[in-house]
Amino acid sequence: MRSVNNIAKYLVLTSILITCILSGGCKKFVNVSPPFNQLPSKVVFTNDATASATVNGIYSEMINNSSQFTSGFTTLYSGLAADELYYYSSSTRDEFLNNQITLVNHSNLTSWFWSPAYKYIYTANLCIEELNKSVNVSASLKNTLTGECKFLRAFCYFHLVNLFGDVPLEITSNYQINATLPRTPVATVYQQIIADLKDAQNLLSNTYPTSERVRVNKLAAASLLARVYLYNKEWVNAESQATSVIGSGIYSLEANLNNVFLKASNEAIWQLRTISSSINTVEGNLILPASSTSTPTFLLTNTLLNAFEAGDQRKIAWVTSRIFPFPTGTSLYYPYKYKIYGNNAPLTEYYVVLRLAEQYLIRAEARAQQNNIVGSQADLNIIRNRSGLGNTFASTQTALLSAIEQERRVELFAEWGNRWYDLKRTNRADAILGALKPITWQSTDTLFPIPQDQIDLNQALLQNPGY
Amino acid sequence: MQLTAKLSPASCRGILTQKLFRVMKITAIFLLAASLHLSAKTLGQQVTLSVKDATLKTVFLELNRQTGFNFLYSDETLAKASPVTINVKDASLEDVLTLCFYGQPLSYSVENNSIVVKPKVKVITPSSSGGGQGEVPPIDIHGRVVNEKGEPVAGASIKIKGTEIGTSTNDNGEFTLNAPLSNIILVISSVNIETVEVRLNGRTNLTITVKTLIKLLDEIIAKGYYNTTKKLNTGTVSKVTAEEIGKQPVSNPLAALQGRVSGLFITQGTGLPGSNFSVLIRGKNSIQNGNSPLYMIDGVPFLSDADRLTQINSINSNSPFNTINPDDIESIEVLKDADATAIYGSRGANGVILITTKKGKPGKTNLEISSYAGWGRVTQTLDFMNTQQYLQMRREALSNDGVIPTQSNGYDLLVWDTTRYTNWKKLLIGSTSHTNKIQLRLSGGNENNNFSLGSNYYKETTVFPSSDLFDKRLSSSLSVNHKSANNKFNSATTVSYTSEDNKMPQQDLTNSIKLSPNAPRIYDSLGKLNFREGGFSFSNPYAVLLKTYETVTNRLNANANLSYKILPQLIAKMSFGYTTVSSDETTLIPIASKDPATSPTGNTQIGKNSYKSWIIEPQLEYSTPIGKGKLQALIGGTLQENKNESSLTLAFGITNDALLLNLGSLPQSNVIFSNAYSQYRYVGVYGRLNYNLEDKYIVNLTGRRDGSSRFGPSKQFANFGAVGIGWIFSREKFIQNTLPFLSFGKLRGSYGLTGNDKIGDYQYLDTWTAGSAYQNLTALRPTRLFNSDYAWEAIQKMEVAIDLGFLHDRILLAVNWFRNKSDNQLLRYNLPAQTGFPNIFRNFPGVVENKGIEFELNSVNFKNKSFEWKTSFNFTKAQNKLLAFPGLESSSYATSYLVGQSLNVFLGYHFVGVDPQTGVYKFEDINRDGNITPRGATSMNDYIIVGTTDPKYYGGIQNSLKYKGWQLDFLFQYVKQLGREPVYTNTNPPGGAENVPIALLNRWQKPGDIAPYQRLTQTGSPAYFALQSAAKSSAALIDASYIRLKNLSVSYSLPNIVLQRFKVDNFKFFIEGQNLLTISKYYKGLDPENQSFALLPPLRMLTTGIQITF
Repeated sequence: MRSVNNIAKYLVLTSILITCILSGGCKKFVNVSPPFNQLPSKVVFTNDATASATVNGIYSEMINNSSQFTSGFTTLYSGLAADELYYYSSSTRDEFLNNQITLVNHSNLTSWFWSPAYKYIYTANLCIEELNKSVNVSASLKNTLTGECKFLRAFCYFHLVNLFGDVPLEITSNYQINATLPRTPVATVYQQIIADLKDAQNLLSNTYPTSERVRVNKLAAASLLARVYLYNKEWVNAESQATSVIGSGIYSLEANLNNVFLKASNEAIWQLRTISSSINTVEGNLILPASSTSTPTFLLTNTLLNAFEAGDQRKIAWVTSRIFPFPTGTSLYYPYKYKIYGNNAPLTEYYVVLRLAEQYLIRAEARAQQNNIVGSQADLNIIRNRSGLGNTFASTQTALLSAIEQERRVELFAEWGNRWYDLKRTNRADAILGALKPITWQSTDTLFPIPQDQIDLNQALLQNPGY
Repeated sequence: MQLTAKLSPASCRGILTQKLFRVMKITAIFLLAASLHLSAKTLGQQVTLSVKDATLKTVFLELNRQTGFNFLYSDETLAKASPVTINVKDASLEDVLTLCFYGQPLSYSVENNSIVVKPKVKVITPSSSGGGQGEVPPIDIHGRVVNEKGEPVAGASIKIKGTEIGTSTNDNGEFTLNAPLSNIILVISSVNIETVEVRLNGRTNLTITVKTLIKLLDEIIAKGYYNTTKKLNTGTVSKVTAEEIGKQPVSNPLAALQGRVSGLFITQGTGLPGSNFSVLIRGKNSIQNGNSPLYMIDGVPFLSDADRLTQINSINSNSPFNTINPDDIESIEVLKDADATAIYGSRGANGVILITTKKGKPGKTNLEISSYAGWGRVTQTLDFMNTQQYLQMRREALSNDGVIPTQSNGYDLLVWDTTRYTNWKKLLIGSTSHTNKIQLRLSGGNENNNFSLGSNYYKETTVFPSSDLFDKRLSSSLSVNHKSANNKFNSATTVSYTSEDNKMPQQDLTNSIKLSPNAPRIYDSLGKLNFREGGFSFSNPYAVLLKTYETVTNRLNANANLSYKILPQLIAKMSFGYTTVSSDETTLIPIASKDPATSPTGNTQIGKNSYKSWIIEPQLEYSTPIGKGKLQALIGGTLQENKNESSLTLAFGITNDALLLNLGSLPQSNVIFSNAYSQYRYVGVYGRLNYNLEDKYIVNLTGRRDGSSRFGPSKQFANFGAVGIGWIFSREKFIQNTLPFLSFGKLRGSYGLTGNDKIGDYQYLDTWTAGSAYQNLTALRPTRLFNSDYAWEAIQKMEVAIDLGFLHDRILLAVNWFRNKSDNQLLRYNLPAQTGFPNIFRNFPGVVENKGIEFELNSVNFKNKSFEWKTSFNFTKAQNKLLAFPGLESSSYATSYLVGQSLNVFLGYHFVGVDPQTGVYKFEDINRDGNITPRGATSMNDYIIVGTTDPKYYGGIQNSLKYKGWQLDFLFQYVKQLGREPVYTNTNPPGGAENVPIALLNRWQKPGDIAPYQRLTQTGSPAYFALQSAAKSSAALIDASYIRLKNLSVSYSLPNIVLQRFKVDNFKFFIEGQNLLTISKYYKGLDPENQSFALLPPLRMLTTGIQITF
């Protein structure tokens, strides 16, 4: 009987011991501290440096991923869809060139355009919410960061509506709400864009948040707002916003066209600075030939080459060519705004997102629409003269608008989809692209399809007509 | 009495000893006869006696009762006697008395009907006939125990029948025994031999041949925290032994399991040395997360195949199991059902694979050396077009598309030399790989202290045209066991260390076999790598070879198991384990591998990864008889921690290949560094209660409560458990009477709940991660959408099984039926990108069922002294089914899954062949709407259920034949499955600038043609889009079933007589082959196992070598 008692005693003791060790300490034991390479949200927004790093992160991401709308793809694929660019070798990107995007070949739209835009919108929403809650971040920094977030949110929505039309409008980071949102009409999205840009103007100052012009200031917001008003035919507002930028005294046109896309460009209102130490701009690397013997990938169409007036310095400074195959082949012309191809060249070029020349053209157009012929001519001539061209002969509203369209085409070619967006907003796409691509062009091609994989994931999204 | 032992004088060496033996034998017979005669009247009476530690007084009383003899003694005399243990049946009184007095300070004499007991007088009495002498001088008996093959039987127990007097054999099977009588019976027994009794008949030197036991049912089955036997097991566990593993020339232990275990489906990723394996036990339980089993090496959790220990994506995701030397493994147990896995709680859902390494064993110090050399080649052939056929194909494709060939779209036709032909397949993957292995093992020691020390070197090269690619492994392991003198304290310690160096190209060259057959030369006229011809570049595969990816993996595994027997029924155990695995990756892209025209620079990536895990498990085991049965109880706990740390350094812009690894020479801006860290902690209390009633009825209860750091604060803990029952009905009288041919029969079943926590760490945290610095300032980005509210995936497992033995268990059959249902699926739930992230972790009430039936048959078909033939067969038929997925239609999975179908269901168009008029693939318009439309969320449209890529059934059949020194083993593996068709599923259309299989000669060319393949196209045409639809159609899945001679092993061991001359214990020659023959009737790709166009298939290996034991 004694041994049975002993056994019982041992059993009880060990059970107690094991239970104590494990359950007493185990709650604590399994609470592990976060990994040192991740910061919990509640820590991030308790200090100025880390809070600032979250917004810095959006810029970093915008230029980090090489295959997306903020690093050159808006230029390239809108350029193909419009009448600016074509592809040299046989390619699987013909769907853009021929405006033949189908539900089979559209999948890049998600990864190039849709996903990154919404990722920045999500991050901006999250930052706006967290900054609003935060008590530790200094008030002035809170303003600056919130202003930048609102600008970046507006910037993403601007491109989304121009590429896809109606898009889901999200102003919260709550995925449960966002996951099932249907598409919001373009007009409503523009209201939000305008509201955000106005907020940004109030929250930001003319001084850039950091050195250089690689984060946005108050005037960047005004520049984008000028463009948004122009697209929405609010001529007075467009003019006044453009004037606030032109008249700020901070920017001036570069007399030498070769300086416009340099990092020190005085014309730049907002630039993205590379995060890679081997390349200058992603776009430059995508367009320029990789070696002295290889072909450039994206070429300028003949219609665009022919659009340059004789003596236009832009055709010399911003366009170049190569004979391929050398020496018996044909001349292939390609954009040369960015001149540096990767491979560890010293960093001299930044990726220009907004620049002063566009503001003159916006104001010229807004003034022409308001029948301010002289004012419009003046602005237009500033741009023409800089490129070695004489003053415009256009003196009527219609002629001026036409001249401005032409000037925008050669000034802003292969730049952020300006041509593609212009053709659509002025309803000129059918006339011009229909003539250029008579077999494949359809009016519904002005909008890219909503990526089918996104419709699969959110049944509330409805497809654009024509797809 | 069955006496199967053979007494032979064979062991006597030389004629002299033989003569001597004969003389002794005659003497012995004479003496025996005399003694029988004399004792007939007096002490010849039969006695049956069974006493343990009894006093002589008690024994005498009993003998008096049985024989009538009186015993005369004084208490004083008996006080000096020691107690005796005697167990005899129908023995003569004289023998019993001899046993009683053996070693006692007493003697006896027979006087009338009395036996007089008196103190021993110290005089040497010459041996004489007749009972009544007080003392028989002890006889020294020398013997040797061998099995039917003549191999020594070590550790066999030798006892004098009816007593506790005995000894055991040493490693040579020899023993020496001091026996009181010359005519005693020796009982020779051991776990793995049939017990025999040998009457000495006066012999003092003898060889005893014993039969090796076919006692598979008593085989020990490890179930992790406790062991059982095949006979008494209530759960489903399959075991693969060192013998089976050792016959396979594989470097990865997972490869050794293929085709050998029912319910276990293993596929090899690529044929590259060190490549990864995918392992599924009884199908996919989890829609998305971790379907890999839990792996334990000597009780220490090991990285699962899903846990990556690498950061750099490369074709050769090196398997961490490659650091485990298959020769170090004693056994691998695969735990499948709830009864076997519930004690692992949240980690056991996908089954558990227990790897037990070789341990020290008592015996003579042995040195075993084995070595082999081997050759590997690609198995299946897939022939591509020659230049002429290729050029015609290209011209036809361009013409079909209405395109006039220009230099840009037809550089292969217009610029490159159209008379050149390179057989890229032969050149790139047609070489022979070489394998070398050398293995040493030293083992020995005694009962209390023993050890095993093993070392191994392994090297394998590739089938690529490069001599600088290899997989090398060096490993050592030491196992030391200690037992205290009183046998109460036990310790077993194992330490193993492996260093593996794997150097491969960054891309699989198999992908380049599709190069145009007239692609430019590899080397230019100056002997340098060529990158172009006529201005048009091509991807030179030899440049790919220069871009290397090298992984050096070091693994240290240490564990100690201590146990102390507090009471005979109570054992306390403590086990400690520590594993560290580090993997250093280096990728180099030298300037030499790049086109010099691009003025290239070199790149380097260096990844450092470390995984550290420790575990402490206290345990208390108790067993006691209760009623007629036996109760075993166990309680224990687990504390475990895993830490992963990694860092990655990227360097670029390196201007000189000599500086590729000299990162200090680079400007700071050319080097980017990042690091990561994660920690996982796990805690649990587990227990087991087992009641076994007369080896007939068994109930086994197991359970665990555990907590894991992988879940949010309120979801960390959960309970798991299982009940297993077994009924050994063959022990029932009525079965024995009605089914006499049945030697064993057990019905068993189990039901229980296990969990799955195989998701990444920290998924519940709301955090920010560092991105690339912008303006050299810190940049943060949100890591994920967060949800702190998810918990375990729970899996209910049910099992019903029957185990049968026939013909004295020479045939054993096990049939298992199982059904696993996993609920509360843990999903990285896909979200539309408009939420900012592609997914979020959450639990989902989806239910997945895996059910099936498994057979395992083991049979000893024939066995005699020189020939033995054994067969084992396994078969698994299983089905995976998505039972429920609430809201599937509105979810992001609407087009991926279908309720009622497998998770691997393949939905697509119904392919109806090539339209003879247009020459384009046609698909059936199922919904008759005039369009061919893919599946939508709510409608299948024109999609049909094509099938599933799950295997329908699979298994293996193994035969082992032994004849004298020869042994032949072969394993056929078979799989019935559907697989991806290579031509229809290749995304690039036949007609583009890459080569295609020769099968495409049979294509549509003009209206009216009836052909399996459509018109050629290079891009943009209706045929181009039709091909994309064909990849999503019934044409894309074909029968990829195969039968493969997975393993063949032939060996010859030299006979004993030769071995003795060379003083060697064993000398064996062997030839072993892996994947020797593959029969696949319909599959036309490179290999039906990995089913890829672009990845190297598993190789056919052939090795030859020797094994010597000293």
